[in-house]
Amino acid sequence: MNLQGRGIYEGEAEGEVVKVDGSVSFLGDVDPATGEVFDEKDISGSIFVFPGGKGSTVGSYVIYQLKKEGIAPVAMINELSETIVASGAIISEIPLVDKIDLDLIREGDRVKVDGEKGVVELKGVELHSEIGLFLEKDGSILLRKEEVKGKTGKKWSILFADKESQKSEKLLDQARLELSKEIKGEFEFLSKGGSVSVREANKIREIHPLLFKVKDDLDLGRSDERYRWTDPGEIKDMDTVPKLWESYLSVRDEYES
Amino acid sequence: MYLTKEEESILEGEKGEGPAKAMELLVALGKIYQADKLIPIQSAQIAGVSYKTMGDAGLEFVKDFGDKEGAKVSVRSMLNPAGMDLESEGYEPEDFRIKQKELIDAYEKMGVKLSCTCTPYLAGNRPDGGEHLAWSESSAVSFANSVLGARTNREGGPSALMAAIIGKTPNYGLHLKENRRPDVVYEVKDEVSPSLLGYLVGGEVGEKVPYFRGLSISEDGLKSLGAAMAATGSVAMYHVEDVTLEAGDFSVEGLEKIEIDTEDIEGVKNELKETSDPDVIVIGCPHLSDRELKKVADLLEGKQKKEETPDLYIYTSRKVKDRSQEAVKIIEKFGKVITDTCMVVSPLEEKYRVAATNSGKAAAYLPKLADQKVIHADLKTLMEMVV
Repeated sequence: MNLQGRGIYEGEAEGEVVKVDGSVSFLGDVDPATGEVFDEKDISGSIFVFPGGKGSTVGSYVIYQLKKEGIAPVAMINELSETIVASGAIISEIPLVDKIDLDLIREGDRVKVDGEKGVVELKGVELHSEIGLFLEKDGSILLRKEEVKGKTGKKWSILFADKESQKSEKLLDQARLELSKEIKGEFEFLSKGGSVSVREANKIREIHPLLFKVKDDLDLGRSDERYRWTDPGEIKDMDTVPKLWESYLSVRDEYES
Repeated sequence: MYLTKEEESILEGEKGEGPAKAMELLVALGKIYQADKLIPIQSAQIAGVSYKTMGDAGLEFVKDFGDKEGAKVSVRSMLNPAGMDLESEGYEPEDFRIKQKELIDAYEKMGVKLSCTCTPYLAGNRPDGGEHLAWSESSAVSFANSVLGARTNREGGPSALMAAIIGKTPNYGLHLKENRRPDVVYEVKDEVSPSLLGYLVGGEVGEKVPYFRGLSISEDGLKSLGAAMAATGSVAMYHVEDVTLEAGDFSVEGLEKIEIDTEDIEGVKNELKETSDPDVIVIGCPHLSDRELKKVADLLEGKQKKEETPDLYIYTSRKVKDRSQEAVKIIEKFGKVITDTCMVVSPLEEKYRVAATNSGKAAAYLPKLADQKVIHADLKTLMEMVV
């Protein structure tokens, strides 16, 4: 699948991702003789993924030096590029794309970068659209404990379902149907937030969060103890499925605006 | 970003390949930072001068670029410190001198003035408030913005060089008043070393604009404070209440407030405590001012040099050295006064392992860039190791 970012320097390149989580000072953190970053990972010939540059501005020439030695990355991807990395990319003619959610890219991914269009193609990674349903009552949000594949212990979650249609009017019908399968009650639609993406193995889950207001008391059936009404502010610090807080913020902000 | 017809034609190569590449880089930066246009600059200060940090590829780049058609600077341009004193031999190996000379020549060919200092504002280029610049040395950027009220982003070596070629820079970041506003207030409770204060605060604030309250500080102190914050963080602008030019222009109401006292500074001191004896004392990061050079001389004058002492190097700009002959004469009985370079960008590691300094910035960079163990102490303590 494709991630759309911003093209900073043109050119196309394909390779394997080497990723670091912290900002990189090319002067000091990268060895221009070996192409190693932080003394542990080899970035030569890779698609080098890192949040951005920092430190000495001589770092741009370190990138140029890597290129001259033939051990530069074939492309770079940033969350946000700054002067050091951008200048290094331009004088060294290395494709550079920024404004990409780096959480969606993993070490070892096969990736194709188009620096002109600002597109990052994740090979072998599929997009999976879902709806995520938040239920609100008297200022509280209903959460429930779920098993998470590949993880030990249960996480706090909401009701997720595969998104069946591209049309937004059908989205609501589907949401109501999914709700009725799980919980008996009356729901009033409040808002639909912008999508939030989560990387899981070889797929990217694109979650479309929806917020409903619960009209009366709910019949949660026999599984009552799985559920908990929660102050939304607490979601951030709870042990939840990935990006539950971001998903909530997305519907809340939409509702408040 | 809006380009004038003339700028468009430069981008298309009408003035040669050099200006075209320069324009390409400025346009890309303008795009990243959403600049509306290019603005004229009064001067450029270019990093990427020491052969030690530049290496062969950096050298090749400057030479390659200098060979391109039209690659001449169009505004007053100065350089960052080189890897050695250009006029007298030091601890650098012979082949290093040759490469360094090549690099300097490549810049000179483009019309850059051979003033190699991190303190251009003490060496004949002291900008006025409101002037737009494209400077790259981080401590000079901090000083120009904060103390002098000039406006410059922290340019990279390449972006400063390209701005020097075109004579313009994209209008974004610290060129715009709204981005010069303070983000966080530091209330300094005790009298503390500006250098260590900078070392501590830089590590905390990253690239935010700190606002200091309760700090009584000299111009030399501001120089050390800014340099250290730009080394442990990437602070390019700060304010000191009742001291710096634009401190009064913004309200700090509602900003996060952090208190700093001697205890916090002690923590930094412990971090920079190295038990082995220094084999070299290095002073002058950033390059010493006339006043600071005199201060060093005053601490040494009339004293007896100890029998076994660490070597002593004092780094400053050629201009300041030329103006301070008396102080230099005194100091040179105890050590060397070196110009055009500094302890961080010269090959100190060729001869030394443990360096003592009073600079927070040098303390931040020496371990990584010159393979040194570092002892941080105040100037008086350091001079007592010599006399």
